[in-house]
Amino acid sequence: MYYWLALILIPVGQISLSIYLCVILFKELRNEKKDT
Amino acid sequence: MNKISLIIYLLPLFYIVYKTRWVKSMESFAVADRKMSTALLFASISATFIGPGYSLGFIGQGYHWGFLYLMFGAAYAVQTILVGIYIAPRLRETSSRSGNDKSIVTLGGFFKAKTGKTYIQCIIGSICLLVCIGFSAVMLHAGGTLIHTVWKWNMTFGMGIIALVTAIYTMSGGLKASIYTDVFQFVFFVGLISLAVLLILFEMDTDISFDFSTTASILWEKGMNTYSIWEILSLLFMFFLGETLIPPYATRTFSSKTPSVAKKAFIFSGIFSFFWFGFMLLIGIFAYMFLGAQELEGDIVLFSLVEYSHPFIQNLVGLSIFCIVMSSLDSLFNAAAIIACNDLYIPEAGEEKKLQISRIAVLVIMVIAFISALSINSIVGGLLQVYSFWAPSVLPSLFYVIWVRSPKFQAVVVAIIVGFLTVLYAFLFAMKDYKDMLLIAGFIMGILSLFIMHNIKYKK
Repeated sequence: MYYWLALILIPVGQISLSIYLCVILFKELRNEKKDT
Repeated sequence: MNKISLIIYLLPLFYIVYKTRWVKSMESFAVADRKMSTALLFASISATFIGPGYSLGFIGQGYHWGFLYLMFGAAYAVQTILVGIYIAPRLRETSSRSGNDKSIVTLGGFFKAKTGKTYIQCIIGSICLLVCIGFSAVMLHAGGTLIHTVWKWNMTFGMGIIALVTAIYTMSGGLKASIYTDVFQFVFFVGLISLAVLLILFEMDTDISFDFSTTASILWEKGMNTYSIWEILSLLFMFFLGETLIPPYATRTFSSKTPSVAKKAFIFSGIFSFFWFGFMLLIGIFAYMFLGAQELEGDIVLFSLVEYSHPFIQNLVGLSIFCIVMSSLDSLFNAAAIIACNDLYIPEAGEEKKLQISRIAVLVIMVIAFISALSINSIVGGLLQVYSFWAPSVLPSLFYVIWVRSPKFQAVVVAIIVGFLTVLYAFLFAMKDYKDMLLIAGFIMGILSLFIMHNIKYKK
């Protein structure tokens, strides 16, 4: 049962992490424009 | 290949490449102006270490041996966390404290700053370059295999396409482009593989009665009967030290905003890596339950699994593996070019000239890696060969120059020679069974020779 739980929870956590990083990346890229 | 998914992937990538286009200073090209934040650095380090070996390779290991490889994954995770706590901040701090911040952009440069010898910089630079080319060749080979498996293209042609696209944006934007695209690729492949797995679980109407724990323990048992204790120990050693601060990680350390940023990024990446390895092995075990025992080569287990799913999921998986390959490859191309320019091209050239040389170096390295890629048989096997080179010849002296207040150059030279000769002997003459033993011995001998040479009193 724990294995199934891990197989579902790890990807859910990773998707959340991806979304968070995506937001940070595009914020940084917007600032990059100001630098150049 | 679903054209829409390809466009969804390529549009943001082009946007990033456009934003980081044609950097004009060596500082930007080599260390991204030393402005990188924790989140970006974490994602970039993670995207770099997750190559085909740590994704496709691990799924294959999960399929064959269950959670056996979690031991080795844990060794890697612990190593990354230790680097974060003890080494990366020190490396970054020293480069700031030395007063010539701008000149230290490579490990070779760091050795030179510590020992004062240009030839040591050249030796370390040459080994780093060799390691980068070896890793690049492994990545390219894996990329070619992927394109051949998913899109049925000619493998050599696929390798050429990946090499060329990666080289173009690395040439243009340097480390900045490499880190930003790494983050994007990380977001893309981590998100997509996770999504694909969730969709597979739903779509295949997975039978919850599949006995995960029994399967995992059967596979574990099989693994323990196949691998000898000695093999397990040497694999632990390889995973623990094999990738420690290889050039792409070193350049990322130098690019961090502050030493504490480097520290946090490595620690987070180490923690993340443990979950990632566990996830990959879980997919492998799931594939075993679904596909049953087959004579599958490790690298294609994932593709065999998704063959049964919707074409959309197949596209997601294909694209994410593509990202995995490119994000590791660009880091290696970039690191190799910076090394070639700063450690091997010693004459004090102007900024513009150095940039020009770095860009040409990317192209040359791409060609060499492409030719070498044609002669590698298995992804993990290829990686392990490169691993074995790095640890004995560079790591003992790297730890030494980082930790000892006034390192002696004689000790560094002897340790490098001892480590290098052991690797060379292992490759050329040692029988297969003794190879690993010699490599571990090389590392220990390197440390011993450092200890002896450091305590000798030299005439001034």
